[in-house]
Order: sequence, then structure tokens, then C-alpha cells
Amino acid sequence: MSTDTPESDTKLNEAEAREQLIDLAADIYDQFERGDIPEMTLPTRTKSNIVFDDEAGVWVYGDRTSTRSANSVRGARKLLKAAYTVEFLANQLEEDRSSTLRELYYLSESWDSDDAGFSDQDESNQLVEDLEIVSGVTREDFHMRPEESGATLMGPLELREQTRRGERDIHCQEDVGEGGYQIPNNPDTIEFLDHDVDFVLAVETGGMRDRLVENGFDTEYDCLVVHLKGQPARATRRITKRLHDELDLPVVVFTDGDPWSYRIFGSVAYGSIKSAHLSEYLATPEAEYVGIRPQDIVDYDLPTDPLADSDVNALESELDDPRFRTDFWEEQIELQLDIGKKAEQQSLAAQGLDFVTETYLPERLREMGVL
Amino acid sequence: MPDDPPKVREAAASRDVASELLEAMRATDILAPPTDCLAPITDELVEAGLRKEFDADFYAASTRDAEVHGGDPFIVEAGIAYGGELEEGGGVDLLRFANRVPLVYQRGACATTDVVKRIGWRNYGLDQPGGSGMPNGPAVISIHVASTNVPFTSESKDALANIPEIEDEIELAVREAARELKSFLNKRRSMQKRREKQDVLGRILPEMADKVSEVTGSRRPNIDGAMARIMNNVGVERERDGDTVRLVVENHSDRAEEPDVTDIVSVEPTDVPEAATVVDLDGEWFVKWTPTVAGGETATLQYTVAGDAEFDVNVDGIEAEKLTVNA
Repeated sequence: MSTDTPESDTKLNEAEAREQLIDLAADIYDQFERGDIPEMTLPTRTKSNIVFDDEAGVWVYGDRTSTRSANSVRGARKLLKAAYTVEFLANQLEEDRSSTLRELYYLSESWDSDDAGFSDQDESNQLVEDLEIVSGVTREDFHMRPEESGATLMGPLELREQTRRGERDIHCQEDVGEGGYQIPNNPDTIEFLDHDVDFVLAVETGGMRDRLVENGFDTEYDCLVVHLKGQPARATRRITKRLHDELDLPVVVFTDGDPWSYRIFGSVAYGSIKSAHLSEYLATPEAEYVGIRPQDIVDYDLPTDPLADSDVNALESELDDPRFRTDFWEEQIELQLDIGKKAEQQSLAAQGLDFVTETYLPERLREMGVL
Repeated sequence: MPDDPPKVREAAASRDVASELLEAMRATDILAPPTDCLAPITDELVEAGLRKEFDADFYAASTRDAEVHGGDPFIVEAGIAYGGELEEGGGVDLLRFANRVPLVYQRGACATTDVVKRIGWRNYGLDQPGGSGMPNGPAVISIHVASTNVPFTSESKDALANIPEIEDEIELAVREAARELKSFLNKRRSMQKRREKQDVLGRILPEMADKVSEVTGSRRPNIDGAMARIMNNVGVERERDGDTVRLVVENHSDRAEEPDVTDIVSVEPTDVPEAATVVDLDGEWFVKWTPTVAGGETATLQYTVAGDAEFDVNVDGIEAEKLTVNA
């Protein structure tokens, strides 16, 4: 079975995606016929099994694999679920329909085998990811959607979206409300028409996004504000990657100053551990980290919260994480462990509401050479 | 310590000499007192007695060698019955015997009871709330002490006194029988697990096969091979090619197996190899064959029958859970 990641420019059409799925079923079929115990081999999806792909500059799965074998009750259940899901997805592609991951979870209740039903949505989500890996087709090409993540764009960018009701030309400042342009689940249906964007600023929290928009940061500096909404959905990461690759825009990431936010940056820049098979397609390795840096906590004397035990553990586990093994991150993480504090983006408001747009960001971005 | 025995006055004068003398006497192998004066029940009869009284799934018994306490020889025997019709809830029953006489009263005062309570029964697969005390479960433990002088706690001869030598022997005798119980219970548990796994996989794999054949649009694949492998099974299959009959034993486990295969044929078989024997019983021919099949190997018996023959194969010597006969 191939575990190749699809190239960003080759979009498999439905027939091909369907064929790949049926090949998976055929593989199990052949193993039965040969008298073998059916099994499915997948890369081990843990922190210890991701390696840096020098060519693409992203983190992808290493050589370690784990096997789902029908030799155990657990493995057999997994494979049975996979077989049912393959059938469902193949039918869905044939009928040119789509469904959400949550719908798949509920739909499994109606399958005629009690053993094939999913026990929770994590399980069905994981299975779809497994199928992506073994078939080399992305979830989007299976016509599986996640729940809307609600992430948005705001900035001087004109694009054309292929919607179910035809093409729409949208300017992401003039044609949208205060909320911005909502990123669709499959951003590959978007075509970029025109732009005045100088750089892309990805922001973690809604409060900070609103502050930037209210203060007119996007118009003043010609920047495209991407709202990540916590850990970014695939669509958000994909469109960030496309903005960088196709429009040649620098990407910077602005998050809280705590270990969880560093992971948000990590998944934008290096790819997430869960979807490392798609890193090449989703990650923007050139993305840079704006802040809040532990150094800022010291320099600007920001209001802070003490690190909880879970924060300390998360920081320590980031020191082990190959994605964070750079001088910059080691220095910052060790500094943070040293001062034992974390700060939110909004803590910059301690110096006035306009501090972030008039002082902090311009200074930092100039320092980084973005402005 | 000089090799010559010390004089009495030396021993009396020095505590150290006296203590060394005592230790040396303990360490010395002294001729055991005669044991033919004892009347043990023997382990076979302990077990037979349990079989007669209780309808259980498992029986074990043990007899210790004779030991001595205070100059009197004694022998301890123990037996355990488990499962079957024995009552599930509550503590196990303890049957106590001294010189073949049942002890009925003062159970709590008896050395046998103390010893049974002291043993960690969880190690042997019985429930024991708190890790000590009388174990729970559908079991009966019987203990017999035979001696020329049974040390009772009182004149009423109701309970054995706590003599360390006797307690040690009781413990060893009970543990000996309990070890057998443990291996029986472990085996039963693993067989049960295997059966559960077979049940679940026997349901899942055909469903999986149906599904993949539906998706790929082909006929249902043959899953027998995969099933047998999964179950670590021994499969016995018949292949017929004209008049040639082949019985194939496939051992998918990792241990050698020695099945007793009896093929009952309605027509006289010919060309039977030497490894098998044929017995004619009133127009039915019993082909008996006992191959040794190493783990992962197969063995084949080939013979010839003419025309329409009926076959009935019977395989012994392998647990039913591990055997798949398709012949």
C-alpha cells in the first residue's frame, strides 16, 4: 500500500479516489483468498515517529509502522469498520454526495453489523485519517467534511469561490462583514484573483483578531488577517499554505504565550503529528513566529498567569518534540520554564488598547524584516 | 568446635557450647522413625473419596512423605475438588481428618484451618477477600493427618494443635494440590478466552469477507485459511481426487500436536501407508492414524477407495476448542 502524500497540484478526481478505496477492499479480499490473516500497515502516528523531510522542509512520518491485524478482536473490529467505511465512501463518491465526519459517526449506527459501529467520533475520525494514509487520497477527495471550523480571512484579497450555487467573486474587505470571509472546507475550490497583501498574519484568538480589524491594522499595513480559531483546521492551514506558495506572501503567526499556542504555530509551520501524512500539503515551513514570546513577557512586563503543572509538562514535552528542536524554541521554552509564567495576547492591552497595533506588532515585524 | 563430642560438663558450663550442640543435633540427619505404623489414605484414595462425594470438574490430591514431630512420625495428605455442582458462592468447605477419622467440631481452633487461611489463594486462582482468610469459590479442601500421636488441642479430639512441623507439612500438602488447581484454572481461563475470541472473530471475519466482496464486486472469498491461522488451530481437511483420498492435518499452532485421527470408511480402503492401520468392523473400515505434526507443519495421509464411499472422521487428542475438522 502506498503512503505517498498527494502533491498539492494534483487533485485526484472522484473516480480515482473511488478506485483507491476499492483497492483497499481488494487488498483485504486478496489476503483472505491467499489464506492470510488480513492486515493493514500504517505508519506509527506518534511524536517519536516523525522525521524532517529535508526536501519539502516539513515533518512527515518516519519508517516505523504498526499493523492492524485481524488476528486480534480489536484489530478485526478495526478492519471491519474500515471495510464498511470504504463501502460508504465509495458509494458516496459514486453518487457525488458529501457528508461530515460527524454524520459518518452517526451513520455507522445504522450498519447491519453491531461490530462495525463506532464507539465515539474520535474513532471514526481516526479511521478516515488511516484511510487517507493507506489510500493516498485526502479526506476532501473522499468528500468528507469536518464540522465548519468558522475560521476567517480579512484583508485586501479578491478571490473566486466555487460554491454549490455557482461561482462567487469576493473581496475579503469590501464584500464581507465585520466577521470576514469564512474559509470553506475545501479551500482548493478557491481561486485567487487579485491582491494588495504584503504579508499574512495568522492570529490565534478571536479577541485579538477583532482588535486588529477594529484598529484597521489590515488596511494600514496591507496584511491579510487569518483567524486560526485555536488549533487550526486543515482548511485554514491549507489556505495559509496556498497564500504563501501561490501569492509568495510571508506568513507570520501571532498566538498566546503558552505551550499550547506554540503547538498551534507548530502545526501551521511544520505540520501536525496527527496529519503528518499531509504535511507537504498543509504545512508552511517558512512561517515565522511573532509572539507572544517568553522574552516579551520579560521585556514588556506583561501581566501573567503562573504555569500550571500541565503547562510545564507540555513545555517539557515540546523540548523533546523534534519539531521544536531549534535554537530559537529551545531558548524561549527554557526561558519560560525559568520564569514560570505565561501570557495571553490580550495582556498587551495592559499598555493600552492600541499598543498592539501601534507599537508591538510594527516593532516586531520590522525586526523580523516583514515590514 | 573439635570433632570429638564435648563432655557433658563442658556443655553445661558454657551456653555457647550448649547452643552449638543443639544446632548440630538439628542439622544432623537422624534415622527417621519407622513409618509403616502409619495409616495414610494415599492420594489416589483421597481423590477417589472426593470423586465419590462431590460432582466437580476438577480433582487433585497429594501425599507428603513422612515427617517427625517430637519423635512421632506423621504423614499429611490433602485433596481439592473444584467446580461442577459445588456451590459457587461463599467460602470453600474444609474437610478435616485425623487418622482417617473426620473432625467435626471446633473447626476454628484447628491447625488445618489456620494453615488454609494463611495461604495466599489468589495465587492459585481462588477468590480471597483481603488476601487472607478462608478462600471463596466452588471448592472443597480435604486434609488428613496420620500419626502415631496426633496432637489434639484437648481430650475431646476435635481439633489439631498448632505444631509448627505439622503446620508446615499441611501447608506443603495443600499447596501441592493447589498448584494443580491453578494450572487447571489457568488452562480453563485461556480456553475460555480462546472460545470468546473464536466467537467474536467467527462473527466479524465473515462480515468482513462479505463487505469486501460487495465492494469489489467479486464472489465471497474463502476465509477458512485465515480463520484457522487466527485460531492457532489444528485443521483436519479431506481432499478427494477421483479415488484418491487425502487427509491433511495442518497445525497452525506453535507446538507439536499428535492428533488421533480415525477415518471410518464405508468401502475398503487400499494403498494405505504403513503409518496408518486399518481395522475391518462389520463392513466399516477404521483407518487409524496418529501423526506427529510440528508447529506450522502439515501431515498428509493418502489412500485409495473405489467408487462411492462414505467417510466419517473422528479426531481425538486435541482440545475441541483448537480443532477445526472439515472432512
